Amino acid sequence: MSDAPARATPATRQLAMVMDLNKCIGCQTCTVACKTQWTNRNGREYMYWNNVESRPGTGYPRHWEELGGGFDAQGKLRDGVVPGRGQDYGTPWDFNLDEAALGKEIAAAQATTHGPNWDEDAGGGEFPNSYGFYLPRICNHCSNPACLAACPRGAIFKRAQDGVVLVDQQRCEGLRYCIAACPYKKIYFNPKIAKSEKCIFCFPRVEQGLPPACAHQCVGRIRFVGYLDDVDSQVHKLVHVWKVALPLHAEYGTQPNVFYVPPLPGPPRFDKDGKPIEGSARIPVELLLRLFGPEVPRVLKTLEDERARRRRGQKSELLDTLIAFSHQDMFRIGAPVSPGLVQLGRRGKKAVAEGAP
Amino acid sequence: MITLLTLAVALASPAEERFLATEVIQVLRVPGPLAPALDVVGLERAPATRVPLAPQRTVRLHDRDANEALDVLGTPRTLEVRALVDDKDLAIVLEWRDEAEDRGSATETDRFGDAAAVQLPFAFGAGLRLPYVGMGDEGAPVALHLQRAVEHGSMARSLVAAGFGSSTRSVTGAVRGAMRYDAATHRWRALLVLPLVTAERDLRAGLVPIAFAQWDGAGRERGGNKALSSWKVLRMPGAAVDARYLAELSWGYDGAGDVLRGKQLVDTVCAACHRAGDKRNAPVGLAPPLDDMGLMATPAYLRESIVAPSAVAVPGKGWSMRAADGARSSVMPPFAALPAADVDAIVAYLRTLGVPAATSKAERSSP
Repeated sequence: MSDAPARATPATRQLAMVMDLNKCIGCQTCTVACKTQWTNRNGREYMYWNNVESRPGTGYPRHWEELGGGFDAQGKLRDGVVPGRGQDYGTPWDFNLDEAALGKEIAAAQATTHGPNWDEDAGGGEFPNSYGFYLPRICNHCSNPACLAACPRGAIFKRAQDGVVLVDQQRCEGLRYCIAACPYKKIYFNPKIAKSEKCIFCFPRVEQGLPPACAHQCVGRIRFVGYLDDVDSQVHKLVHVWKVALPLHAEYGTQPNVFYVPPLPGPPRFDKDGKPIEGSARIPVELLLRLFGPEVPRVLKTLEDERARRRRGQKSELLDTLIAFSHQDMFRIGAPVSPGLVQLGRRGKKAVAEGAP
Repeated sequence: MITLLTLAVALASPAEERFLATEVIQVLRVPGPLAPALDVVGLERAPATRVPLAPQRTVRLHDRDANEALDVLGTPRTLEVRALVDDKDLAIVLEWRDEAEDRGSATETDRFGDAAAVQLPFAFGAGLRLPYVGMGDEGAPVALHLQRAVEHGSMARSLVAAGFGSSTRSVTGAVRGAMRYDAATHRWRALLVLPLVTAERDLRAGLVPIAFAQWDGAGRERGGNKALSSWKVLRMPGAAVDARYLAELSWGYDGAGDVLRGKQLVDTVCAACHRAGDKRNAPVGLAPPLDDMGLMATPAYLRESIVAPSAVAVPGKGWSMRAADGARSSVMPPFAALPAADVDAIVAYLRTLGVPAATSKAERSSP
């Protein structure tokens, strides 16, 4: 009678992403790669499965950190909110480019409320002590997904082979409890087909041995992709060996699988005479603690120590990895499903030959 | 039809008499064919039954706005139900007051359409207990037929379910229907036309159980955030009433239980886990709240929940466990040893919960 899938199937492996925020330049190439691949059509136009927001800033959707969801300390779902398209996600707008070409000041051609890149380069602080950094966000493909827990239809599942969280479009009835429940607001309602949709970690690419489009296209080489239990993957090393990559808002209780190398707090602040203040930093560490938790000072110290080693002319495998001299080494995804299709180069082929990972 | 009903009433016990007076929707036979048009021919001759609905609070969902709205909109609601039948189809006409016309949107992410639905068991009759009123249960599946207001017109959906979270779209017994909002009277009318006979069920019986649900889009209601009725019964014309089934369905309607004794028992025993009435010490979520049981549960269901809770355990929300042999057992222990009079008393008290004092009299005295 019921075809409700067993929802508690544990993932045996977890594909994860590490993003090094010290290298993100906010170019939105990832955003565009994702949009052209998945969300430029069929009711998804307003969605950004991948977005890059500025910090400090309001984020996308607007003030998403205040929209509830996730789990409380007892592991119970917290109530959340379903954002509205116009006021919370924002509707794309045009600029008056024709008029601007004739000398008029450039301005939005329509009234605007919000957008996926609303804060652009606003940042925080007063000149000359301005600061800011970029926070790229995709679905965290959580180990304890609140969207999955909240779906009354059992329409959301986590793939056993790689932990990718997906919406079963056959079972989804568009009830949107998942959207309220996701504390990252990374699951979206498609009003045209009345179903929920989300980042799929580019699983059709992953199945061909390719990394997700956002990671592959990233010009700053900030994104690493691999299995958390694959000791040869850079993802594993950054998260579990060097422990410099932290989850975003771990306190939400969903066990996210996208990890961030927090940004170094930057150059020292200037005093009123324009002199650098010794030992100070532009980015308030509280901002980083709020996003990435209490491990931030330890991670920043590790990064600083490694930088110091390098300045002394010593070796640092960690820094070499973060610099990403070898693009292909950033991704360790495994054998393509169909042999003969595009592979990942030297490492990928080796992995195929050895039958691992 | 009138003769048959009169006959049934004439032979009825006090419980049956009361059951027939309060829980039965008289179905009008019309020549047909019944078209899915809102102005059904013969509708004005079909008797209207007022069915109270209570907000669904047994299973808590996690939309903050919807939960806040529930406290405002959650007052008991009333559906006016009329039913007609021809040789092939059953037509159900539902009417209700709704201050605002809410429709789903093909462009917005946070709009929810007003909707109403009927629920029918797959199997019913003497010896068969009714499915759990909220989406059936594992031993007793239900068919659900829904009409929801969308951007242009309304959408029909048929589902089958065997417990919370199990509903699945179905093409069998597909409804035809329509919805219309009257802005002058602030009333919705929804029509559902169902085939009498499908592969899974046959509605050609004297007494056919049916339950109702209604959603207010303004309160972001959808899915489990809804108002629902207890099981009612369609009295189908031209089919005999099974006396045994009538006796089973009407168990507890004689009001024999001692309400005060029942409250005492609930407050001292049940309230350790359940929130009920003015006794609210139990932690939220430990056990289903009993606040609207008077509107949502039948006496027979309440009795079974007390003496054999595993038989009616709601799957999927942590209130039951599955043993290795597949049997589901409720986390609530059975109170089978309670004296019958105490069970009657608890049922009688629970039947008062959620029933507004002013309307309960009217609802129950008007046939």
